[in-house]
Amino acid sequence: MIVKHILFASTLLLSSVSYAETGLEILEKMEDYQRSITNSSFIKSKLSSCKFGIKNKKITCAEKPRVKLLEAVSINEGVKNRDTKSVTIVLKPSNEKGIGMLNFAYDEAGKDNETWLYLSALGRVKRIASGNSDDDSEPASLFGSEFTTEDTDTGKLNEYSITLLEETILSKRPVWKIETIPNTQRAKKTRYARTVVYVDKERFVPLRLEMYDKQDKEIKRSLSSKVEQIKGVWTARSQTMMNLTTNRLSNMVRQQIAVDVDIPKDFLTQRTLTDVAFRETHLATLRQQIE
Amino acid sequence: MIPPFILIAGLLLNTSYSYADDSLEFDELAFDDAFDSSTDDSAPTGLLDSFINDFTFKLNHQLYGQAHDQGKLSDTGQRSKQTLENNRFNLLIKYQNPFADGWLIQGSSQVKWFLPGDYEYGEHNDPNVAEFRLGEFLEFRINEIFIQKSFANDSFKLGRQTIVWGEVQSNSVLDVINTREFRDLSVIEIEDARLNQTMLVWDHYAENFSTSTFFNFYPEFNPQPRHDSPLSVDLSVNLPVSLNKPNRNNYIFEAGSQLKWTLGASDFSLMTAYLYENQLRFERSLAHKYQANAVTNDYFMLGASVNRAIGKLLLKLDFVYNYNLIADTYLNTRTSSRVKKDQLGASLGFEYTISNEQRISTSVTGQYFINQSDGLTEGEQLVRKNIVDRWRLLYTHQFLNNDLTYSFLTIGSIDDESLLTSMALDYALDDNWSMMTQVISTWASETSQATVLDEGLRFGFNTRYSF
Repeated sequence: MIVKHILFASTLLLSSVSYAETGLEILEKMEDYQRSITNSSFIKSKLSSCKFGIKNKKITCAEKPRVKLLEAVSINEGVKNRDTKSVTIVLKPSNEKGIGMLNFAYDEAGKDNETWLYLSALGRVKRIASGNSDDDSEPASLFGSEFTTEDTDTGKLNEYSITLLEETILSKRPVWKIETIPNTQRAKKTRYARTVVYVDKERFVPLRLEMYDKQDKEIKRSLSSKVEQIKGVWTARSQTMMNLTTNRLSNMVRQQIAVDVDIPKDFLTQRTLTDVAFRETHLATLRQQIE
Repeated sequence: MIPPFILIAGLLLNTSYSYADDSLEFDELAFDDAFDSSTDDSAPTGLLDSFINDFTFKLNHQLYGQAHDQGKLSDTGQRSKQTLENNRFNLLIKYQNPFADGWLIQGSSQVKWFLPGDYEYGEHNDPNVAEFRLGEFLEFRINEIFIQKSFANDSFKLGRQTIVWGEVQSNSVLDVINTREFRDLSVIEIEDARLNQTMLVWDHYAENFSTSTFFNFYPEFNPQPRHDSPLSVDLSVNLPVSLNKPNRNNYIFEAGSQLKWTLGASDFSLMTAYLYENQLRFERSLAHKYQANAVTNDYFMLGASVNRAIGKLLLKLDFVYNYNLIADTYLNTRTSSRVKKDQLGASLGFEYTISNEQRISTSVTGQYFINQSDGLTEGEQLVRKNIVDRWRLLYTHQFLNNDLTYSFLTIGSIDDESLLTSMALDYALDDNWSMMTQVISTWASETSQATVLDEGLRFGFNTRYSF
């Protein structure tokens, strides 16, 4: 399996040298590359959120962060494996333990993603009308953090005008600086009028994203760090989303990652949210495969 | 001299721009402890730790009181006076243990410690099923206890549990399987008032649909309001009776099944059930002058529900046809009505996500007896001829990064002429501590079933700790 990943990564790297000339091609390769991490994966994450400030000339938490521990399982499906099904369960804090979210993210332009939430207090699964954001409002937040459904979505690249701005250096890494501007249709569904992405030229990891509103003011910034190879695929194990309007940030640390694990197709269904015996049986198997 | 406001504005501008300044680096070490496996406190490290990890505790202290004397009732005397109603500690314990492959045992229970001023303090109210009175000041209740075995496509749950049918939250004509106890006005959400029942539930999961079938071994009924509670009425004023429990000489049971599937951006379900009406009726005993006997009624129901997500809007519709419900009539005051009628009901609701911080949900329910005059004797009339309606609106707004939640809830009925409004502020100090303050006002006409709540104004304060 490791060989397969190395071959896959090598193919991507070789192809990038030869053909990655336009911004669209680079982003497609980056998304395919990063999507391979979420394919048949089991990830245990720590999500920390806090108000941020400056300490020792560095941006950091200005208060004790609120922490959530999450377990997420995802698989890719559909045309070119570009639809992602994922289920996320809250382990901590104790008053949120057992809350689960099932999300189907579709690559197809115009097809809204679907989300279901299980709250034990309600005793049933509830479809969430998170929809898409619009001119005035934020997309749905992930478990109350600064990450939104739009920030974590992949795909729908053909709804953007994509321009390769320059090749530069960021954090001592050679990067492509790429600008994406939503088309008229997409602009109705997003708060971001423009996004600038810095993609690592060798690893195809988005190291930095800057999101701008219609007044061209930077409103959010995403920073990636701890870039490591997981079974031959480069990925950032720490991602921080800074909200420059509210001065709050959320950091998602992928503590443990298992890729290419055996996930039954029926695990990515509403049953996993409600049937704890079923869920825990499969999660126990997945936990054993974690790195 | 530079005016202070310019200095402050300058500092603010400087600060806001400074974060966008590329010369400032993010402190990448700030979250490094998350990579340290020794700080992973989610995984149990031993047998005792594993045992404790299966528990969740929620402790709260509740203080609620009626703010002023309510008006007099013409036939049952005084409504609530200005008084403290709730002064108690509650400990909610939840246990969830997947002890073997495919197996789960889950339970939750509640201990209530009544303090001076609480209406339960020193009282001897009859306990419900799975509820135990420990002395005059302590109460222990088992909310939920079941064992579950899941197979590849099937799952079986045996024990006390809840079943929630219908899409419309807290106001659905299909949410009738579990009984409810609105013991206190601080419990105004159905989710908190729902009582568990002893059932066997079989869930079957196929590729494109699922079914859920239940058998209720011991159907229970909505308990009577507690003595001295906000909803209790002093019957001794003009109706000197005690209420007997339902006769169970003949075995009674409930059963039902639901079929669910998802298509496009909608979830669909169809359901059918054989049930007993949760709300008991009483008629005076012919044998004992001061006693009233419970009348139970079994009926059949057919239901359907659907939701539809359109962007940020979620539409929900529940529909029911009930066969053989008792319809209350005005003719005979000594015996309960025995007129059986069929009823149509529907609940329509929507939820709208205004933003990440603001949400609104509203619903309306209507129920109507069909063939209203059939089976009535001369001069006999239905108590409720019109559509019996109930509406509910909930608006929530979160502030301070979701630490502070303001909620406004209103529940009312045009037919019953009653209205409840609640405003609450909930503040989370951290992941463990939170506080809530609430104002509840109630209004009901003399003819309303909730007339005892007319002119109610209650204030409440809750402190919670969960671990």
